[in-house]
Amino acid sequence: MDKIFRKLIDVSEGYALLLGNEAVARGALEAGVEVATAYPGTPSSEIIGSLMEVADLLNIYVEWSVNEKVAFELAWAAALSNKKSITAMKHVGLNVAADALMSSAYTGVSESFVIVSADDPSMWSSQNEQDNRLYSHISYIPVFEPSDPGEAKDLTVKLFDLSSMIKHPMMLRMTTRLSHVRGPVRLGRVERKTSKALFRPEPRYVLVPSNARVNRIDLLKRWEKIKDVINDLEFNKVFGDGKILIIAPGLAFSYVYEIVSKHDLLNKMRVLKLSSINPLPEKIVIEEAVKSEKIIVVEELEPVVENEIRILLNREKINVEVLGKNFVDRAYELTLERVEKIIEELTGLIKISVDIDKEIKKPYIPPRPPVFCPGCPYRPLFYEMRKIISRERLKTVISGDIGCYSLSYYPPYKIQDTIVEMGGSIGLGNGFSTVLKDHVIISVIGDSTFFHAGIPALINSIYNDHPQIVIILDNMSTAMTGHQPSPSTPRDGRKILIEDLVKGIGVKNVFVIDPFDVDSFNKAFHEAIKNLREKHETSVIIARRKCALIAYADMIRDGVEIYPYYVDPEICVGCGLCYNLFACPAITPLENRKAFIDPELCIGCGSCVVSCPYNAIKPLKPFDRKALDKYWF
Amino acid sequence: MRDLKELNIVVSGVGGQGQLFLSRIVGEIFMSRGIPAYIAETHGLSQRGGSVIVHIRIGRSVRAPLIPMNRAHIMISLEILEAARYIDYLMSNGVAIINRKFIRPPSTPKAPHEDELISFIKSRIYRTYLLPASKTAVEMGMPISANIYMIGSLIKLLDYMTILSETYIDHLIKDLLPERGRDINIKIYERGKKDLYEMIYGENFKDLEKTIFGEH
Repeated sequence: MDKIFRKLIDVSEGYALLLGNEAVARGALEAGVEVATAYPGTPSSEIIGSLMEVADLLNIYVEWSVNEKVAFELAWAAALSNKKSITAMKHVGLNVAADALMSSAYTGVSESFVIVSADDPSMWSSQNEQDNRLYSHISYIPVFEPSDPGEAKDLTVKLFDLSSMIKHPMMLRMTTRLSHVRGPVRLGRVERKTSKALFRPEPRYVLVPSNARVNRIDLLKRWEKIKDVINDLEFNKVFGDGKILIIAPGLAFSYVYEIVSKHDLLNKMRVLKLSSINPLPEKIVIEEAVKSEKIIVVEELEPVVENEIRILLNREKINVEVLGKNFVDRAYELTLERVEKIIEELTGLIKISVDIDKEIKKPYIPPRPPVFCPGCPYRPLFYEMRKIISRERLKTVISGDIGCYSLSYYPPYKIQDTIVEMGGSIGLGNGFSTVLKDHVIISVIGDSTFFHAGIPALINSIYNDHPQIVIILDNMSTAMTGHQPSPSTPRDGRKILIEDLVKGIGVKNVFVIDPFDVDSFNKAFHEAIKNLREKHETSVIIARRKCALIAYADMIRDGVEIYPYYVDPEICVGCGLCYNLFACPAITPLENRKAFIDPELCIGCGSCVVSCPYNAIKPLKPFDRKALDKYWF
Repeated sequence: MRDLKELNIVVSGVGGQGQLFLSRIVGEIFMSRGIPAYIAETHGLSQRGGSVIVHIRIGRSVRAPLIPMNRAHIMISLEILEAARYIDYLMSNGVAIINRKFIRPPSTPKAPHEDELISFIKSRIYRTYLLPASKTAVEMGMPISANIYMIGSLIKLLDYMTILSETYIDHLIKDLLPERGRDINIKIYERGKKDLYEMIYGENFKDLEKTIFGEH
């Protein structure tokens, strides 16, 4: 089952079980994409990740860029040069690329340019629940939503066609339950034709005010043309018959359709599946609206479609009751239960019942938040940092960032006071440093996030003099999203050394330490505090060690014998420091409170040894730890 | 073949136990018989040792990705606490197949005892089967293959309930398992089948089958 996406390149018929994101990637391939870029971010990462798998086979260019803006611009330039391109990002990533997004509508393109935004209703792995369909309204870039993985593939192909025809960028909006759902996808033929790159300079590509004013008028004309074309989009479709009309965009359609057909209601109501969100397919909406006594708009998050429909009906003087967000809450993703309840309430045609015996008392089920993996280089560092801060009662503000290390917010480390957005750690650090003079301001950021958006904030901190302690966790990878490369990942002899970069910015105090070596962290941290208090200077501590998942996988690949550690029960006193405060998931308490290391989970990293004041943690077999360093650095 | 209307399988466990692989295998098996399958996965943050739930939905009536509460026919759980957490997804006459493995959430002094969780699950779901998946996988030298054992037990159940024939699947499964350690994994898979069969032999699941198959 390995590399299925790659194996399917030569298959051009039948169905495959693909992840929604793989379906989008497949659609791009069938449309003949030649350039694909992204900065990874859940739930979008597998789109470009899948294309990366086949780049060599199809001779297409696929890149993990340093951030979404750069990714967007690269793909955009390709589309200005007669190459079909795609760029994909998570919803908040589009904020980073928003400046480029707005301008791309003004320049237009010479070949297909498809922008994918993967939104995250219910915030499974994001800081907010923004509805990126709304970007379409300020950018004049049309937005479309599929209802399932199969349609995601077909719609992607269609958007490449539309973009090429109208010479305008198109946006595909996915959500977690589309991106991370596997479903049947009907395969077509992968396009293998390559086109010749060609850039013809035109005034519309130069957005000085005199040209932009002309572009603005052209843009509005193009928008009218798009509205026209979208009226005939076959993806917008009506099912059923009756006086009630349910309008369901994207994934909402799948929920509505399943409920309506399960209760045999297709003879009592119509369901309009909407795939083009903005602009709306006015013709079909008007045709269906005039036949209706009641319109129910079922959509996730914001009333994007609902508002447009209200405006349209008002303009056309169609007087039908429209129900929407007053019944369908804005917050969180839809579920079958929610949709069933909405249809029950609004139509009175069904009655639902749930058979759960509430008499049986559920025991307390503790939450299981994600944790640092066994062997994670961050654990000993946060363990030590928590110890120092608590013991010395340091008055700190710790400004965290987005990545695996966000998990140090949770007990037992409880180390981050703010986590807001990519690069926000050093950025907020600038502000805290300005107004909280008696605090130790600490910013914690990972390597990939630092390259993504941390550098300008650090420059600001030096140039405008906002001293802070910046801890850059360099695991040489964008680990959280699945180990995509970061500029700190060695690649064909290239690698950007963070210490060189920060020295270049003008940071005087730079420490490079191994986070497993807690003494060296302790020393660097104390020096950094001294620099801050006595000299009012910023220090950067770079904690470098590879992500344990990568190191471990490499060791397994090379057939390295790995010896787990164990706790000597004769020595262990059951103090719980290792399982409660160091908190490696491989260490658990026995009935007698003594610690036990689960050999299934232990990867033999040995970092827990420092957490035991009694030296009860030992390797199962003595081995040369240093010999494994090549896997860790 | 009987008309498969709707089959909902909820898969739970702790991130890293291989729920995604298990679910994908199940999906591929049904797809290879031309039966549509949808699998809603948990990615990103939840992978790091967090709580994981995967929704598998199979059949011609299925369109949406998430299983509603109280509508799953089968639960496969790789861990006891995570079985208890998501047990309300199961119908009261559903089948819970649970790996007898308790993973205490790190630094949670107040975690319930596994016996308490098991008796709760059993009081909710009378068709609860606890199997030594992790233990078997460790004994057979592939500690990470508890999920393969669970695939075996699920396939046995599907065969017993006449949803799919195991002879057909046995043939297919060999291609779906990774090459590395394939022989041992097949043995683990067979053990999962055998162990479950010994527990369900003689049982009758007709009431549950009725909710899975269409009338015609």
